Amino acid sequence: MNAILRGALGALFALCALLALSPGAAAQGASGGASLRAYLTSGVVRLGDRVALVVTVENARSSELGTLPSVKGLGIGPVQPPAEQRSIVFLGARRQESVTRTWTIPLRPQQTGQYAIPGFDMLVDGVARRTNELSLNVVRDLKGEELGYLEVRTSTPKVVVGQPFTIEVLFGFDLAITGTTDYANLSLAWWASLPGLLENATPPPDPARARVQVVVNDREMVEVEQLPNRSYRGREFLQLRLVRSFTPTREGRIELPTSHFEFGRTVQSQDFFRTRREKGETYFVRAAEVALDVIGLPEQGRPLEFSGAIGQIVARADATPRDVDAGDSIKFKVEWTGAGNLEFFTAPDPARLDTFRDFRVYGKSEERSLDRRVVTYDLSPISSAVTEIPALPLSVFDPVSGRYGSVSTEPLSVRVRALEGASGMSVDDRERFRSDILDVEAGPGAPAPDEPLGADLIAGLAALVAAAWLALRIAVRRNGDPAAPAARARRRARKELAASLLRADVARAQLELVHRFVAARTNRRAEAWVGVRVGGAGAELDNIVAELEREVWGGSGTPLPRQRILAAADVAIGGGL
Amino acid sequence: MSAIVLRLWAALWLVLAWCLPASSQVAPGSNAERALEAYRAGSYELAHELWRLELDERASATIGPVAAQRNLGNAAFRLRRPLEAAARYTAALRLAPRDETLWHNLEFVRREAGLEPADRGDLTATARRFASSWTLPECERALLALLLSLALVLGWEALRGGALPRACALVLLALLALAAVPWTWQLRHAQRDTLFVVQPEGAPLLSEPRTEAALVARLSPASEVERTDALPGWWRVRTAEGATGWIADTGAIALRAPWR
Repeated sequence: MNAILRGALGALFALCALLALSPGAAAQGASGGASLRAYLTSGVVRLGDRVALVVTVENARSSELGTLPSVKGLGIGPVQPPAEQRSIVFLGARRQESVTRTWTIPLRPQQTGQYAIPGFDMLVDGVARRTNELSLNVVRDLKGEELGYLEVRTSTPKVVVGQPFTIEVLFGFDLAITGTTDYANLSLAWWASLPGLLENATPPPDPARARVQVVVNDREMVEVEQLPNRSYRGREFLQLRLVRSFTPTREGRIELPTSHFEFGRTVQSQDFFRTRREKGETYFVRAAEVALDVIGLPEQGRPLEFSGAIGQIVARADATPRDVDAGDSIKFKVEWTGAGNLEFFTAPDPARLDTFRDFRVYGKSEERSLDRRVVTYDLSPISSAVTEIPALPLSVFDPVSGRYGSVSTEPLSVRVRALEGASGMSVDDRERFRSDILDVEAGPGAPAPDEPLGADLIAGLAALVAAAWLALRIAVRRNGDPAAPAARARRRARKELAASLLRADVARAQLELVHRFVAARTNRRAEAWVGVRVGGAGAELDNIVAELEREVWGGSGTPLPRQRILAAADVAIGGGL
Repeated sequence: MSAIVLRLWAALWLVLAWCLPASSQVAPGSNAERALEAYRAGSYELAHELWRLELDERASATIGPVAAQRNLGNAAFRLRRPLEAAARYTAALRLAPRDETLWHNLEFVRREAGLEPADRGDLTATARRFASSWTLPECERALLALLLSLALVLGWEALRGGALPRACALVLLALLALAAVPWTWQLRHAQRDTLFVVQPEGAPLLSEPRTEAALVARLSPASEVERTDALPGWWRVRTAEGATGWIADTGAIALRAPWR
């Protein structure tokens, strides 16, 4: 049950990851999948330096720049027509074109100071959208380069779509000014505007290292890691590190504009109403622009079973228990680690591999994280001939060599015992018996079926039967209802005469039965036939009546033979009585 | 007296000869025997070809069509063509609908091909299986027997009347109605010239009998369509949804309506 629940959660996670990688999610659009971003080419500039406000709209059919804000002491514009760039977004096997429009609006600060540029409206696909608020620090001089350092670097200069990479910001200041430095601010213009990237979960911090809170873009507090002090230009520097991990979802070039690290001390000022802390002596360190190329996965050499795994990945496997009976469950645990998209690739399915044909695969459970992927398969050997769990391959693209390859686990030895108390058949035999077609027909088999008679013949016969029945019924009922009591008594008369004669032992009783018979056959009362002759075919019956009357009135009462009376009755019936 | 005994003896032998099953062996040297030998030797392609000849040339065939279709199905399955095997078993079941071996093999190969079972076991499938459990000649024989009985009972009712003949007639009419269900189903379905799609990726339904023609639809594997016309290499078909078009004759197998 637990395994099923874990499997379901794993599948849900995979679905969420897929949805997160979908173009709609990548675009992060609140409406219609379009996304809007605004950022400065630099958060800190010297008075007179060039700086620009960049607005990008992605995946929109139409977009218009709204009215630009007015900021005291800051000239904004003029606005030039937007630049349009088309790029390709890869999502697994899907390929989608993305269109980006970029407005670059020059800013002209007229004096030093901190400028807050409020958000302004854009019309994106007919819907008004508002940009985020930005902050620009204009200083007279960027002094203090020798007192600190700032490095922005990516883990690799070139990545493949789907390959995770990190952006590392290393910064710090001279330990000699630690006592007089009480604030630090990272001015990272690219911080919230990196299109085409999906941010990964941050790796868990090293508990042995101290964590420090630092301000980013004068607005946001982030926690950074304090590394051991660093010797730089012959001096000792405090060293801090900020790391973010991303997965690119499309081809193109990712540019990180100039970044600044601002640090110094604050001074306290007091006016009539309150006491305020303001920036006092401030130092600036600058990091150059950084660019990263995102390239697509090559089609050449891509195996059919490619799992989507990208990176340098190592596989390790374990199995418990190793000594089992045939049909027992073995937990086959495979762990993939290394630098790669461990969260997103599709784990191989042993049930589809020929090398695992001696195993039943009942399911799997998965655990995903940034640094490792663990899949536990529920295997069951079906034969006592199994001696090992074969190597499980995973098809991987290695971005360093630029080639597709395979990462396999080591085969694991197991011992499988045949089931005790089983019938003469081995497990193999039973499996084969259950799961195969039955043999061919060795004999000639059944002959070809007869030709059908046809629906017309059947329907015609049915109609004929119905018609014949109706005709016969009408004809019969012209002479009266054959089911009427008199008609039924007439049909029964012969049978009743035969039965009654068995009990009649005197002539009088026989005479009465004969009269009753004639009455039933003629639909008259029995008394009506006393002294009356039937005549015609009933002449023999009349003779018998006369003889019986003589016996009755003569006093002897001797009965006549039963067969003679019945024969006379049959003659009378045959004659139409 | 002895002549009468001799005649009775001869008649008894004739009846016995008629009742006894035909020979359980195929004719020596025939295609069927060679196919069986090839199958036993693992030459499934050769066995398949020989059994197909047996099926196509009915005049000289030494085995019945049910056995030929069943064996063709086995050979096709051994050649890793489970869809063709399913088609062969389906065709054989039209001739012998109550053959348990055929049902077993059909359900097995459908499972191997990743298809739904032919008999899902629900109410609709059970009703369909009942309706198709008799062949058309069997349905007709049953109907004829019932009609004859009904004629006798109706004659009795016409001559004598009464409740008993009427009750008997009603019972026979109910039985006739029940027997008419499979008969009607067979008339409606079994006599169609049906094709069974055996292309694993589905057969493209084209507007005209040429490969460059527009694609009208894609027939899913194991679906059944009705053949309405034929050209060399092409069959014109109509789907259950009413769409018509042409498919290549390699993409489907005729279920060989036996009474057309």
